[in-house]
Parts: sequence; C-alpha cells; structure tokens
Amino acid sequence: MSSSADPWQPHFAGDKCLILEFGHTIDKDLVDSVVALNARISHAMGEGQLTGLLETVPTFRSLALIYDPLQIHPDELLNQLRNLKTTELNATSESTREFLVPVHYGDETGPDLQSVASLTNLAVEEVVSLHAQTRFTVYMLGFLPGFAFLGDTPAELHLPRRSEPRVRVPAGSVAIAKQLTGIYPWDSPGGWHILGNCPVPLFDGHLQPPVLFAAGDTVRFRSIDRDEFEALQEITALGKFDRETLHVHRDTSP
Amino acid sequence: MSGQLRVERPGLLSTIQDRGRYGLRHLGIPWSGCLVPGWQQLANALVGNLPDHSIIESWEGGLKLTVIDSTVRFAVAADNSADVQLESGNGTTRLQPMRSYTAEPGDTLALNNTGKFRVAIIAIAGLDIKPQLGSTSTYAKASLGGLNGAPLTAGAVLDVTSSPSGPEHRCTNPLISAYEQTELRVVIGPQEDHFSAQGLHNLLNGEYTLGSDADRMGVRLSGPSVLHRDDAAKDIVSDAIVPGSIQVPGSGQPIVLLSDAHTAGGYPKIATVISIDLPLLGLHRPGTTIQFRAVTINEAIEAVRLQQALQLKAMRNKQTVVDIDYTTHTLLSINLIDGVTDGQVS
Repeated sequence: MSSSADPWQPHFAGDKCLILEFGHTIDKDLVDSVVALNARISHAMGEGQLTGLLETVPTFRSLALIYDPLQIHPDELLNQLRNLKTTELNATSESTREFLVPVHYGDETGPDLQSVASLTNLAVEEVVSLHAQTRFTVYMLGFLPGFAFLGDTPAELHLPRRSEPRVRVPAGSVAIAKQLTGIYPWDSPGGWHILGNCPVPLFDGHLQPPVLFAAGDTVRFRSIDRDEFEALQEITALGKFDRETLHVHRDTSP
Repeated sequence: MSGQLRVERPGLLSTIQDRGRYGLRHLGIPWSGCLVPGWQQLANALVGNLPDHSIIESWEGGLKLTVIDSTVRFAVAADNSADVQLESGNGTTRLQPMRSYTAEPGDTLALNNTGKFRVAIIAIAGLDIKPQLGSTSTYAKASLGGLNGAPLTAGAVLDVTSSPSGPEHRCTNPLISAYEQTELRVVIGPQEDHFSAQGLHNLLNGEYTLGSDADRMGVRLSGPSVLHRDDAAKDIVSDAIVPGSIQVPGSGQPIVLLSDAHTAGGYPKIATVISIDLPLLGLHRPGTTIQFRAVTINEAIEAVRLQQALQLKAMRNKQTVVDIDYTTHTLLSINLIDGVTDGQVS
C-alpha cells in the first residue's frame, strides 16, 4: 500500500487507525508537514469527502487517521488521500493563530529556574529573557488532555530531563526538557525543569473546544510579576478569565 | 414522566459511559467509552434505549441502586454467574442477565458481584445524563462526563426520563463465547521494526498473565520479554496511541491500552489488539493467561464486520419474555416481586 510518491509511510495501528509517518525526529519542518496534511484533510472532510474517516491526531512526526472499518477499508482511504494531491503539500504552511501567554518565572512557581541558570552558565534573567523572547510552535497536544508540547526552546537552554522526576508538577507549570517546552494543564508527575507558572486555565471542559491551542499555533510567553500573577489567579478563581484575551490579533495595517 | 434512582453503594468502580468522546484526540482527550460496547448495545436494546445510550459500567460489582420514585426498567449485561438481586418489600429475587426487569419505588437493585468476568453493564431505560463535550463518558482525570466528572458516589442521584411500558425482553448473549476465549488477535505494527525477531516471536508464541495493575486506561502483562532491537529502539519520538496499542517499555513487559488510553506516547508499539477482542482485557481478571495471534488487516476488518452482523442479529431477535420460557422455579421467584411485570401478563 506504500507508494514512493507519498511524503509519508503508512502503518496500521489495528483495525481503526492508520498512521502516516513523516519521520522519526522532532523538528519544525516535520510538524509543518503533518499540520499541512491535517489541514488539507480537514478541508476535504468539511466538503463531505473521505466518508468513514472519523478524526485525525497530529503528532511530532505522524498523522493518525481514525476510521470506521465498517464504512471504509484503509487501502481505499489511502487511495482517496492520494487523490487529494497531498504530495504537493507545502511544508511552509503557517497557522494563522498566535497566543501570548502570561508566565510568572521563578520563586516557588519555578523551582528549577535557579538550577537551570547554573546548569547552563547563564544568569537567571538571561534564562527568562531567552525563554520569553522565543516564538514557539505548538508541535502537538497529548500526554495529558491539553498538554502542549512547544518547540523549539533556545539551544542555550537545552537540558536532559531531571534525574529525579517529581511526583507532582502543579497545574500551570511551564517546564523545559531538551528542545521542548511544555505547559501542564493538570497536576501530574513529571521530570521536566519547571521555570514558572501560567496562572490562567488553558483547559476548560465547559468550553468547546476545551483546549485553547491546536497543533501548528504560535505561542509566546510574557513574563509577569508576582502582583499580576496573583491578580490573574484571582480572576481565574472567580471564573472570570476570558481566554480569548490571550489571542494575538495580528495588526494587518501597513 | 420521570423518575430517579439513588446510589446506595457505588462498589469498587462504577462509572457512567456511552460510546465515547470522539473528535478530541488531537487535543489529548481520550475516547473513554464503555469497555464492552457489545454488552452496552444489547443491554440498551433490552430496555428500549438506543444502542449507544449511557449505561453504568461496574468493576467487580458492589453497586446498589434504589428506585426513589416512578417505575424504572433496567437490564444487566454480564456473565450468567453474576449475582444480581432485586430487593423489594416482598423479599429478594435473583435476576438473570440479558433480560429486562421493571422496579418499583423503594426497590433496590444490587449487583453484588459480576461473576466470572470483572465487568458488568447496567442499562436503565431513559437514563438521563448531561453530555459534556459530546459524550456522557466519565473521564475522571480531566473531570469530564458522568456526574460532575467523577465515578458514582454514595448518595448520588440518577435521573430517568422514561417510564416503562410494554413487555419485558430478553436476548441471547452471542458475545459470551467470544469473551470466554483467551486468544487475542493483533495486527502487527506500527513500530514492529523497533523489536528483534525473537521479541516478536515471544509476543506471538508466549503466554502472558494479566497483572493486577489494570484499570480503564490499560493492563500490564507479564510473560516472555518482548525484546527491543537495541537500547536505542526502546524510545520513539511520541506517536499516536489508540485503545488496543501494545506498547513495550524498556522492561520488555507489554502494556495494552484500553478505552481511557492517553492519545500519544513515547514507547514503541509492536502490535495492536483488534477492536472486537479488546473487551477481553477489561473482562478477564488479573492472573488470567492470554495469548496473541497475528492477523492481517483484511482478516481483522472481516472479523469486525462479522461480529457486527452477529450483534445486530441478536438485537433484532430479542424476544418478548413470556411465561412459558421459564422454569417453574424461576417463575415462582419472579412472581414474588410485586411490580415486576412479566411479559404479556401486564
């Protein structure tokens, strides 16, 4: 079922899932290809094509296609995909959404900021400014509902995971490991280096969609002080935080 | 018409489930959904619900529900050895799985144990649970679905919107023999190239014991080591996971993922259990020994289509319960209960 013209390699994951694999590494070009194919497929599904395809799951290096085997055979699904001319995918396709996310770096919200600074031979302020000046891409969501894997963290900050994972990483933690930055929507065990905390909810099960980000979105962090952190926490606790305010509407005027 | 049921005891783990929460996997939200969809559909058919209607999925029983007002029709899908009782003012009667019953206010349904299998399904006519993100399935890790995003707790009240009319129904359980077997069919891949030939041989020829570390997310197995090709092959860049994925961490001991499976992970997956064999892993108890058998994708899809046809046939052929179908003993015990309308008698 493989064809050399395809930019992917198909793999079966049981009777309901077909994995289109683009590569084996974490890099933005791969993610761009996955996101571009996903957009092309979503568009086709919206037009009533690809009957029997139920949903898609983009990851760092693959796109999973979930289908109903009572409605379509995976070989037929692959044939239909090839007719979408996906081989002409433009790997530079860009998400139109950008978010600016508040983070309080350091003190008890970022228990690893000091150690990251000493391990990387940087001043704490340099770590913060390097991280907060980066335009991240949402590479994928997963691990936990709404957990966003962002890349790339600046090369100066690349560190392996902590040798002692924490039993509890608090919800909102912004943490780094190797070239990735992650935001924890839930309390969870975790082995990444925690730089700070985002006080506003990025997962809300009462909103549709419940998760603010999607793969391909751009995210930047905004360093906030203790007062603003606490004020945002308070607004969030009252249920009055409007997550739309994180959306950056690009100025299109000349 | 509407009624209510109160949870007297929730048992070990009782959750509201429907067919699952689809379309959100790209956001990291699992499907969830009933572990034994075939039983869910049969039990719902017996009480007049649509096949994918919300049900209660109970692990190991211990669940007790009392009818507060109105009459409530229900059916339990379980192995025949399950201990299900209806307690009323007139005494206690043992109920049969795969048959509908109607309970009166004050009656208590007790699923004391789930019998040979560890899961039983209770369908209730018109069970009214508010969906969240398109599904009523409980996924407690993200506080989604069910009642307040959590498993059932003592004192919780379930609303029921329909009141029973017409005769009771029963049906055969065409899936029981399928669920009694311990051979699970798998489709090889997607990361079979991360394993040695010996590793794959062990998976397909060894016997694996279900571990006690099992929940709706997955089951750990122990058996012959599923060896990776080399140390570098023990991790992958995170790739999609689906229920049925057999992921193998560095230990070489496989983990099979179930309904609440997370959406992506970094362990290579040697094979995937086909969807219709996945209920076996929810149903069989820790200590059970299973084997894997490789099938082609075409064999898997054919098997899925065949089972769907059998299932539809059983649902179409559900029978009205009439007295003549019962032994004297069963009849007597059923007639002890006030309010259980038995077939055309009502």
